[in-house]
Amino acid sequence: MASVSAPKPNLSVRSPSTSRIYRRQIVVLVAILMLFVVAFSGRHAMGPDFDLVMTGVLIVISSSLWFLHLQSVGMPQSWNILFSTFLAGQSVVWLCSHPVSEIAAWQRALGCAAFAYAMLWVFELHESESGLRSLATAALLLSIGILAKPPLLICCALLTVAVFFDDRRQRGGLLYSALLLLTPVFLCTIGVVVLRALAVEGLARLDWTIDPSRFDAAPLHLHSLPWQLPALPFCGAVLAIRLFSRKSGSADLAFLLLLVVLPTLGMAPWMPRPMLPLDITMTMKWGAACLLTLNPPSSTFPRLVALVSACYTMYLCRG
Amino acid sequence: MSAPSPTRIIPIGESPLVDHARAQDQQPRSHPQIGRLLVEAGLITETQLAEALRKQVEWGSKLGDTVLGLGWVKPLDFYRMLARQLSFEFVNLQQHPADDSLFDKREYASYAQDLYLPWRRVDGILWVATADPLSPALAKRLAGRNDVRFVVTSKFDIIWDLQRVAGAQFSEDAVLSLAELDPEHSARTVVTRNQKWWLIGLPLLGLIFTCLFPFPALIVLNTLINGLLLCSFVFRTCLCWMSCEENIGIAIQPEEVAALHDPDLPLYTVLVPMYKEPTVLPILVAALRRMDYPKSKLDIKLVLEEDDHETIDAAKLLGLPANFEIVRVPQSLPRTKPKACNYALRFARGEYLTIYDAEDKPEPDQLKKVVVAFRKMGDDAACIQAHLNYFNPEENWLTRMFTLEYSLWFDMFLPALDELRVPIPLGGTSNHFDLAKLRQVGAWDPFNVTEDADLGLRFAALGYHVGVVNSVTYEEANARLGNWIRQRSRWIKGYIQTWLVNMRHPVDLFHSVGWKGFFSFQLFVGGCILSGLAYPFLAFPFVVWLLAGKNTMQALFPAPVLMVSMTNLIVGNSCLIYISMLAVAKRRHAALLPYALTVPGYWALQSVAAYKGLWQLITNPFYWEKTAHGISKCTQAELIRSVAID
Repeated sequence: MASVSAPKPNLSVRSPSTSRIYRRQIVVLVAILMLFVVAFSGRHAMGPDFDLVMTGVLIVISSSLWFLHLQSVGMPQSWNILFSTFLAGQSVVWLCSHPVSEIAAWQRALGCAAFAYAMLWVFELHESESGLRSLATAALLLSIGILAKPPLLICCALLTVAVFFDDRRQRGGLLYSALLLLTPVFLCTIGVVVLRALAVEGLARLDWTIDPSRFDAAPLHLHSLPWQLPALPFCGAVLAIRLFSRKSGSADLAFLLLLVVLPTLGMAPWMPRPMLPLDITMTMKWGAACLLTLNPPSSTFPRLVALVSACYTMYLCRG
Repeated sequence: MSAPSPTRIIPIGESPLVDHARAQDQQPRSHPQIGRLLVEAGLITETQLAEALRKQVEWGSKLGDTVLGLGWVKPLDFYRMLARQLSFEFVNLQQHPADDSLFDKREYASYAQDLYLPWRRVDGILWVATADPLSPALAKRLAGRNDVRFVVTSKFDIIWDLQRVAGAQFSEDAVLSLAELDPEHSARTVVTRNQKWWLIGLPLLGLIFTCLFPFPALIVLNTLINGLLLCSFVFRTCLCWMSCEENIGIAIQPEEVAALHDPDLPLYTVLVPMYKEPTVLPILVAALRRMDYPKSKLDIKLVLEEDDHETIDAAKLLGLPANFEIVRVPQSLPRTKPKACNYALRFARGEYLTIYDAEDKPEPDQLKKVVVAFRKMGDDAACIQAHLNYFNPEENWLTRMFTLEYSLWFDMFLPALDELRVPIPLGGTSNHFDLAKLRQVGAWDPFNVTEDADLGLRFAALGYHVGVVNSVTYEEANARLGNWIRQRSRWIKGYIQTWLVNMRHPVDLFHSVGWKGFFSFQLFVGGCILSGLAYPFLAFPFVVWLLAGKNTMQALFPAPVLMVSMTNLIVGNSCLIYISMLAVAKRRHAALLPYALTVPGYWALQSVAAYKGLWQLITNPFYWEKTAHGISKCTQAELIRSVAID
């Protein structure tokens, strides 16, 4: 066979490390989605014992997944262990200091937080990757977001449209861009409506709406906003670290907007399912955890700052 | 060898042959230059000679191949000049055919590939008719034989005469070689005895179970089918998600193509199997003439059925250059495209081989991209599939949906399957093969009506790599419903054949393609079949609800059955809609995006085709439902454009 002249092409089409990264990304993403689904479809009717076991499992899974994600972006293992332990610790401290009746609320809040985490991750991916991948992921995540509370879903949908606004020319215009982004969530909504309209016995179990009166915690109100304070040290520290290391991007902006828009929407009286203060706190903590993971600090000092802030947050979480 | 029978050989005079024999004995000697002879004979001009000499250096070919590839000299004239240059006798094999008794069956392949034939034996001297007396391959083959002398003939005469003598043998080989070489992978037997037991036993068991416990049976069956379908939809969505990355698959960049040196390029065989498609032939011919590949290194074969006079005449009328050959396939059963390709494969001389349909328009740099891709992929590369898409998407709803589907299939599914290194069911055209490996695996299965998909799986099972390259071939989308159903039913029938063949020994399949390959085969190929066949069962409760209301529906179906079916119908349709949207977004067919919302209707049509395919598999398994080409309104415009550009 004749040979190709210089420059000699690579012998391998794709490096094995790329495939490994893909696999890891897929595993982490799928696991997060599963966690999310599990958290929301948890059997609330099964009583407090089941809820306790389920909560323990969820804490372990969520911390492990964060550990894996941190590991995949190259954070040293010892730091990963510390960070994920503190994250788990925050949950444990909170759960220990609150009545068992509020566990269901915690589970749903974790689902919301996981959703926010995944969305912020996608916003960051959008900045670093060309192509459709981030858009498709955002759209598919939004469709799963119908399981989340409406304020969070609406907030994330608005942020997604804003973040992907620049792509509109590439996708053939704003209309087509919006169609690509929002079709899955509309299809899912239609699906839920159809299933409800069928009102088949047994479909009730697919009823994702959980009566807020089931939770003992009071819904979000203006005077409950200071309740969010425990999450602030960690969020502030992470944002500051990213700002000073010049790693801030659309994900940070989206996170800040989320912090402002989410409580506002959450307090709107017309919302079918109002947010709880816990939802906001968890979303803030997990959003900050996501930002920390997306561009992990490369030196010891910022890592230490993040860890201390996480520790302080855990201390404040004791209720 | 016996002396030639005087009744079979038209004598051209013995003494000239003896003179030529003496003359050939006196070699080596200097010959006049062929280019000069062509100019002196008035066959080409001085300017053309200068251009041909420039091209000869640029392409790294012989001058003869260059002028023939450019179509400046008629083959018969050229070979006469070649004979004169070498002081050999020129023979026209159509007037003076070779002596059949001199043919050796074991040498048929080398006759076809090295372009020579044992012509006659006179006075103990074997006269060999060849189109290239200076060929190193021929010299090597006949080395040490002092009883051999040459006469020059046209390569077309060699192919014609070889088909006359060996056509029946080639035809039989084309039909039976795989079935004899590897019967376990041939679809000649549709269902094996073991499979028959399963296919009868399982439904029977299901029936008994249903009679005894109707509700549980219905729930189990429904859950099983829906579970598989759901996995298939999720798998396809994951594939699409992977393919959302821009450069998935084998992405060859323009600079890599530019870095290729033409003299280093190998001979490339292009097979164009056709049947009664005279109208669309100019589109392909124009596209092939525009290919960015040295014309002298293209070995193009129009593979036509010998009774298809209209296409043969149309091809002759086009005045094709000498790198186009017409291979006439003798009539035999099964009358399928893979059989015709197997037959033409005997005459293929290239290092690589590709297949195009008559109305195909490959991108001009496709062959070069494939050469680069083969060299990048390494020794285990056996086949590279180019992307397929359509040049007439805007014609009607059906062509839009077809374009949408092809974008999904070739831009999303196949590159992701390649990324996962699992078996790829090849598309019908624009698959490029390493010819030696294609021959090694026994080529196409003439009994399988989706022979390409089957071949992709066979390559994977033997440990070869099938890749997908970033080059597109544009085809004509089916614009008529009847024609579409015919084509689709053949595809689904072929998929069922492929599934049945590969599932004769599931454990062996698991070992040969690995767990990833095994499950992707079940979810992708099996899922395609199942989604077509299961659609009515999914849609039925929904239709009942729409027509008769929820009370009737709840009376008819148990709640779990309803829940699973309806959820799957909604999830399945939603997945299909969205991945179709992603596919057209990637292909930048923004205008087709809203049409993705009508995918559920297209799925229903596929279901009709699936049942037709299943019925045909039972009643007429090897029947090839011919897809009519050239019926699109755009094809006429495409024809005019092709001819104008040409």
